[in-house]
Amino acid sequence: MNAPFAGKNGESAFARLCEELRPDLFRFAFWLARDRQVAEDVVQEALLRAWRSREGLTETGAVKPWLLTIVRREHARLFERKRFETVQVDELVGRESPELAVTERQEVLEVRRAILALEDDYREPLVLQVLMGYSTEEIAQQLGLTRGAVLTRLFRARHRLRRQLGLGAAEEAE
Amino acid sequence: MECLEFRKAAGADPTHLSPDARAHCDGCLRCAEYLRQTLVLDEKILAALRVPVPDRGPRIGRSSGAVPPAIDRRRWFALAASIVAGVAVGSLLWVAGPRESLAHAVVEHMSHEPDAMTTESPAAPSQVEEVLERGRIRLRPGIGTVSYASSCPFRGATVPHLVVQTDAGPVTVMVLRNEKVAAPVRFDEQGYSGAIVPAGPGSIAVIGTARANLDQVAERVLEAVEWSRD
Repeated sequence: MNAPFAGKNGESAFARLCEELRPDLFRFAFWLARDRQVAEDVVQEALLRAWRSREGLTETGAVKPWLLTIVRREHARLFERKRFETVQVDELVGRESPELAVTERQEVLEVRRAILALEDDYREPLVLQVLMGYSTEEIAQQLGLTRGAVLTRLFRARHRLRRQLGLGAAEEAE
Repeated sequence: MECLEFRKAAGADPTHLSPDARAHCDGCLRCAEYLRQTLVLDEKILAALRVPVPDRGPRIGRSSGAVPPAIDRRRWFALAASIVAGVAVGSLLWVAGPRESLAHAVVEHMSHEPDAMTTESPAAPSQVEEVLERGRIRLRPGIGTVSYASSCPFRGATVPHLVVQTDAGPVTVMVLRNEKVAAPVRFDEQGYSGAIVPAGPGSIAVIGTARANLDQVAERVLEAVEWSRD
């Protein structure tokens, strides 16, 4: 059986790969949790879990979706445990602003605020598609939905963003 | 293709349009403009999604202490020796049928719960208790050493996911209150042997790599699980 992450060389290769994927994993966790600290905790836990089972992986290309699934599950588990309080979007943006305001344009912050305000059902497939480059079939598989349901959610996510950002959604119909 | 249909397609997946959608777009100025706006919106979305990543990332590797101790099989046997033999409930009727989607989902779940099978020391009693309580079950003595306990999202429900140490290695047990099966189902998938048996209001899945031991473990689990009323 091919085991690219077995042995000492495999350890190094896996650690390198995780380091490369860490920004994506963190961002995915952030948009699930909408909280930087929670995202860091989730990624940390997910990487530790992955490390322990790396030798079972047989394909390098399968690592990213595998890790994303672990992140998603870890977030669900944490969410189940902690029952986070509901927070207002303005508060979420406020938490981000001190760090981001100096480096990012106002327009980016406005779009980020609009994405933070999306319901989870719309935000997650949008993140998988736009940020992670997943196809609609892959999103359906990841979320356990039909492809039709994914397309509907993606359409509605963009529709809501257009509306919130004042980008002329008058001719669209949900 | 009509304009509305095009906009639904472009609004859902603007970079992967069908040939029909492309043809419509080529002949409709308003839809072409809609597509252009959507692609601009996607650029903005992408920029917004790229939140800064903290410098101090979690490090993995031997220096992180993340590496579990080598598995000592003698310890498994020692743990297994402490298992109180359950009362046999008769031979289970194993149905060697085709792959079930439920069985597939169980194995898929396991493959994304990688550390569960590599932990051999007993799980914290408080953790086990919490998982059992959330799953509305209790365990009578006799199931063996529980080395892993987690409340896991599974097909829209939160289910207890346990790993029990046996003399033939770790065995995964998932208590599926919301998944009914008409008869026991046996499966072999992705290198695992497993069984899903009717139990209480739903079913229990038992999965391991040591097939010869599975019947015995399933019997023991069925005997040990006590269901609370809904």
